[in-house]
Amino acid sequence: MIDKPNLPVAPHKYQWLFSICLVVSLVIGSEWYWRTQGFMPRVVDSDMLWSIQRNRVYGDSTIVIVGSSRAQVGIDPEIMRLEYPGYKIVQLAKIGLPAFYTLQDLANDPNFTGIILYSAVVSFLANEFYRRDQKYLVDYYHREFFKFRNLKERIDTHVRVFLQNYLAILSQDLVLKKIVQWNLQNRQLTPNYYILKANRYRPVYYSKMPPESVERIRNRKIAALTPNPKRANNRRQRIFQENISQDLSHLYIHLRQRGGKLVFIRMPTSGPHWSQDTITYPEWAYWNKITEWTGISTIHFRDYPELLKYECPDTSHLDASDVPEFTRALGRIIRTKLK
Amino acid sequence: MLFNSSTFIIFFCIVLIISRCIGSWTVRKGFLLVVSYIFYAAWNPPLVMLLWVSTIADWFCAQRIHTAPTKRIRKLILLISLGINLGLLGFFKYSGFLMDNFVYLMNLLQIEFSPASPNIILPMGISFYTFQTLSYTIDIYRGRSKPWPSFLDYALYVTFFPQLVAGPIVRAAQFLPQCAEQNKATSDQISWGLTLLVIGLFSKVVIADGLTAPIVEQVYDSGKVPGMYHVWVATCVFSIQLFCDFAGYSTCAIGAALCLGFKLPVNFRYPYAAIGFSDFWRRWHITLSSWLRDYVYFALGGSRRRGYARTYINQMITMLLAGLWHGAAWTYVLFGGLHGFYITVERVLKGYLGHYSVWRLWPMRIFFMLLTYAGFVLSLPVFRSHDVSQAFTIITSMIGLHPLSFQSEPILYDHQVRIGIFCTAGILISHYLMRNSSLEEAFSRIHWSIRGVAVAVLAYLTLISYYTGEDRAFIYFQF
Repeated sequence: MIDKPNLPVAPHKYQWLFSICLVVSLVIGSEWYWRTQGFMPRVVDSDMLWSIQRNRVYGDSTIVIVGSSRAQVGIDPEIMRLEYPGYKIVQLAKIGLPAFYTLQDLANDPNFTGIILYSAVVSFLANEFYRRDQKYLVDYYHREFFKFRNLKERIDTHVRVFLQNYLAILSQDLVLKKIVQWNLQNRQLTPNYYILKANRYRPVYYSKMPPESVERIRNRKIAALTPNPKRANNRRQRIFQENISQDLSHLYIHLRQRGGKLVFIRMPTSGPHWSQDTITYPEWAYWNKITEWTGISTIHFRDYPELLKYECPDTSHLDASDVPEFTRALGRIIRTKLK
Repeated sequence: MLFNSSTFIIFFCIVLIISRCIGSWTVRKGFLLVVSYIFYAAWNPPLVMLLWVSTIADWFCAQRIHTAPTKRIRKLILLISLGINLGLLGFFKYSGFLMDNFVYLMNLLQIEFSPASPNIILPMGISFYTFQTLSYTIDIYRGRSKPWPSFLDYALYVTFFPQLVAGPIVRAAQFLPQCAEQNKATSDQISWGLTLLVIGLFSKVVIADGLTAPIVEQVYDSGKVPGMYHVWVATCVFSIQLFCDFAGYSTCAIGAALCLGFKLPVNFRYPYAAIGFSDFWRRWHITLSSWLRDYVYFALGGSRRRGYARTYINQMITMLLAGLWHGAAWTYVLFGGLHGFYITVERVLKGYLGHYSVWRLWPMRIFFMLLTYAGFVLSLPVFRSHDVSQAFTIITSMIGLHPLSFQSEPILYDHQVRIGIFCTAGILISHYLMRNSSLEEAFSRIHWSIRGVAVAVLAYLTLISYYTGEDRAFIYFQF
């Protein structure tokens, strides 16, 4: 037998009540402190979170946002939901990754009958290698998401995302190790203005950043552009035509047969980014051809004054303060397009 | 399912509430058995069948051993039980290792042999529950206990979820009598059980995962040869990570079991305050070392037969098996061998040093404690390294024999060194102060309000560290 230990005796109810009150006070106090320092709640993105969203696409009244960073940063699903009452808005855009594979997956999914808003980047569509970038996410969803052994991770992700969506103290900017490190180095923690919400919307608060940081980001983006952009060439145009008229038009036919809809959206860019796009991928040779070859509805920000008025602080992404109005305007335009 | 997950917290709350609502003791045990299978199946459902095989086989073997008419038949049935349990353990845990060594041997003999990769999943906790079921049959074979009359109790003993996947390794005699009578946790037990859960999770999430793991990974996974100073810091920090990880799990297990009305044996008793390696193994993973002592060391003859040489050989065999129990790799065998060597040297030295009162003075005790800890730290590179050659590189760097011991570029940042030293010193001092005490005693001495503050601070730090940090499995899960 095991020796019976002398367990600590106490007024347990009071002790635990006291502990719980103290934990709640610590949470509220530290949350208040970090918020006054400019920190915001930030959810951690993961394959599981993407898959949870992917699993929501079913049902007739669903709008799915597919794309890369511009769509994830520039369209707020919550605002879009207000524009489309009764609709489920699903954000599947993923920063840094061309989204053709996700589009293909949705179009080929026999149970999907909703609307896809595809934030198209012409340079990706005129490239042979753009197709497989979101493959790992799609594969994770189909192969792993439904497995019983991943149920635990699903539950964990739901709880984690719920808490991280409301509490700045659970943001990865405030990892204990980092706080200790910065204190030891007598440095001040700086807030991260790139955040992620539970619905996978990723607002970027350029307007809250110090101007020199915005300038640094902008310069880095400009430096990454091709120094001497080449004008539209035949090879790129050929690849673009093949991708659009063969692959995309087939996908669109599949989707339309089931009652699904697809809208291509060209999200705003500005400054050197826009200039380079107009030289390398002129609208007459690329964007305007999409509808001509496939019949897919397109929305180019240049064609709508209500979308044209926004300046991208880093040349490629909208500021979080502009997103609500932009999303509302976009929602209205989409409604007209789909009528 | 890991203790350090939201899923477990939800699961445990549901289990605790339902089990307290069930009035019938038999139904409650049945309920605990079912949820234990769900707990295990959450990782890989088909492997629950292995648990069933082990449970049923040992249950019947034990019954037959008890009723067998002759000693020969008893021995035969015991061998069947050993064959089933060790066969499963060997197949799932050691077959890949044996095959790799066989291939290596063939290649050495210039014989080309390249078998298909076996691709065998190591069932979680197999080393733990195999040892539990084995102890049951061996005890009955030795006549130390009788077969337990209730299969439900026995199945719960093998499967009880708090200790199922990473111990403590509970003996039947410790667990089964608790099943005999109505066993509802008192408010003292629930309160202390929850406190232990908070302490265990704090050890794991904040100290092991949050503060120490990144430092260790930076040195051991960098692929560079670390300098002497940084490798000592990282290895001392690894000793803290390992302790907080494993002792954290055991503390959670004991706490969770206590909330459900079951007492599990203590698995760690401030091991870094050990004076000598015999003492160390009486404080570190106590349930494994006592299992090996009772079922391997004593079975080999212990220290009673055929003089010193045989005792040393028995010690070495036991420690080599302890090493191999940890994992199917030569590094673990070396780890066990090194500890066998330490214990042997200690035994020899004890004979020469004699029992003088000077050894009991506190400066000498601290000196021997630090010497023991340094010896343990020196054995850790073989435990943590990816292979024997990395372990060799790191140990040679630690003792200053590697050409880059004093020249290599720093791998750790200053703040990491400071965090590492702070954590190491904190744990060593707390172990020294608590050496002859227990958590229960320490907590009993303080006022409930201070206890409440301590629990709240630990819970708060665990909460923020868990949701901001990376998920890391318990180190001992792989064993």
